[in-house]
Amino acid sequence: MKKLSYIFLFITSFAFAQNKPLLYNFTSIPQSLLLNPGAEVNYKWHAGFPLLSHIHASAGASGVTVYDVFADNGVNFNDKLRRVVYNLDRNDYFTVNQQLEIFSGGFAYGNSYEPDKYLSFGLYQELDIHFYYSRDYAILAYEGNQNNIGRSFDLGDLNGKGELLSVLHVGITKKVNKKWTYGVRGKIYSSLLNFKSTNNSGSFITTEGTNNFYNHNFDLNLQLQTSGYASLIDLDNDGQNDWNRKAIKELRKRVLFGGNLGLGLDAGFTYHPKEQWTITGSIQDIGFIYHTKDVETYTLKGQYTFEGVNPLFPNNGSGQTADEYWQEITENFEDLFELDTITTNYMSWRSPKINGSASYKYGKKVLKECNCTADDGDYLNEVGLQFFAIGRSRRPQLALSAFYYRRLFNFLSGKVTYTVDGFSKTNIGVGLSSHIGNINFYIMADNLLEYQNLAKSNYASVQLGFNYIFPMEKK
Amino acid sequence: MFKKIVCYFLVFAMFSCVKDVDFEQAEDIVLSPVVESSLVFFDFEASEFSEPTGTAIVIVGDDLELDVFNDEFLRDNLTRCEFFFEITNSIDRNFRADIILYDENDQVTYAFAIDVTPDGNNEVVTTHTEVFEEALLEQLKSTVRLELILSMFPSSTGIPLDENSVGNIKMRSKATLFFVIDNE
Repeated sequence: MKKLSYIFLFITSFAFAQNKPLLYNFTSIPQSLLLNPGAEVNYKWHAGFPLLSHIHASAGASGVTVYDVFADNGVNFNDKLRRVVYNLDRNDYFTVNQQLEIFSGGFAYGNSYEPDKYLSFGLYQELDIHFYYSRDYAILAYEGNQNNIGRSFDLGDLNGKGELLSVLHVGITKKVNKKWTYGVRGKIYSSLLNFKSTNNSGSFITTEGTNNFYNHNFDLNLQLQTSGYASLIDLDNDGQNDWNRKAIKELRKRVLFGGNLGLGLDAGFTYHPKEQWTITGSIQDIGFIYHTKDVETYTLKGQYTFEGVNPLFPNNGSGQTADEYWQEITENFEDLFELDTITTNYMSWRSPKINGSASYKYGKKVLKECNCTADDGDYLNEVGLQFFAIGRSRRPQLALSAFYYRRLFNFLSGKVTYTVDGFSKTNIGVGLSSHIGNINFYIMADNLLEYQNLAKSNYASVQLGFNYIFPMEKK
Repeated sequence: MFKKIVCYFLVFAMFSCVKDVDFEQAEDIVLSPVVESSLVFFDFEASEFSEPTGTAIVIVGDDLELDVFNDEFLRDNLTRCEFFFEITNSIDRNFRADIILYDENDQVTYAFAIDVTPDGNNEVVTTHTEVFEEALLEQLKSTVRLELILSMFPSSTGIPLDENSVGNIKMRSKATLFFVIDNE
């Protein structure tokens, strides 16, 4: 139970699905190219500090916070739990997303006096887990069927997936002219671990019976697909530590092409209809992984209606002995709840993401010498709106952000976002990016209003990283 | 140096500001679902009990494997169980249903009977609730087999039963299982 509560803490204490509104279009940070390969590039080359160039961690729960369940407020734990069990909707969800860039880099090329292309590449590891709240299962476990005669429990409420993968990618960003920049990025996924249970259906219902009090109707169509899992379970196990060590070693082998492979694509653009106006759009992770190695699928399928046992005395002429009759009922139940294990290949789609923005830049720096603005200087401020959507197994999840970007000093810029989404309507985030010498350091965190007590927040996320950036020569 | 900074930020972002919460209280979790399930049922016509003399006792019976109460989950979490029987009789005879529970050594763990009286050929509904709690519940949990014996007693008027006799005897039954699932 303790373990469970820590997992719960982890899930709910810091968060945000995969939306990175602070990083999006923060063009002085090279990792913004991962969100939009068509983002503008204003440096000659870059290299991420290995393992430190992009660290992203987030988790979220829609509709519930750690505080809702674990508040130390004298209210009985079970009363709090009850509220959560009933208040959450079947479309409420829990999500964890974590990324770690292993290496990354890029350089400008093309036209020698004014390079118009930028090639960027890298390898990152990603963990993505997404679960819907299995409401009908929770209520059935919570109250049983006695008060739910006639109610159909939807077994399709079980819906979740998780993946641990590495992504090797190469992208090209092309500046067409002052107005247009576009880019694409190809990705090779290597799945280390995958589980997917997103196509469940069926029901359990107890109805008033005719021959007996109740008919219990089971209609099961449940499936869990896994890859990379069976071999880990089969590892020799000389104690937990030994197993952990072997499992990590095994997973590491899969990072570069060693897992189940897949392909993906990102694409995006930046467009300036007028000098101060910017419109951007991108789509990420249009891709799939084809699971052929180490696959195991577990299924639970069948229909059965049980209305009780009808003893056969006096012999009613069916020719069946009582024992045969009883065996039949037992077998029916065993068949129904027998877990079949099959090894068929399967495809898993990645969760595609869409980003878009429209923004306006203003306010050039006033030069002290002449009390005027430099014509070729950059604008110091930018305001705009951003849109984010991610495809999930039931329906897309959307977020809308308003942002203000400000160049604070030559070496420091900042961005503030206000985001409305499925988690919360009051999410304020702040990101800072510094360039000291050629070292870029950035850190961004979401949901600052709840920062005094993250237990009360539905999510908060953090991203940070270090890059070495070599700027364009000023002409 | 960088690593230190990263660690600091991560720790800050994850844990520093979680307060006024007590995760230990999860140990107090108690779920108390109530599950109902159909048990045995039958519906027999008077003709099935044919006896030409009107004075014989007719006994019929059947055995059912009933090892569900042995299940580990039930043994740990079931705190109360009720069997509810409803017998509807329109045969003009007295009946008695004996329900006998046996453990794996074929020893009787518990037995009870339901007496059914007639009102001519009018339907008479007899109900019976058997509650299993504490020591009795433990006996139920060691049960692996249930025997149901239905005895029909001689007619007070000496009228025999044959294929043309009217009336039915019906039984419906259900079990109500009260669980308390906690952290103990």
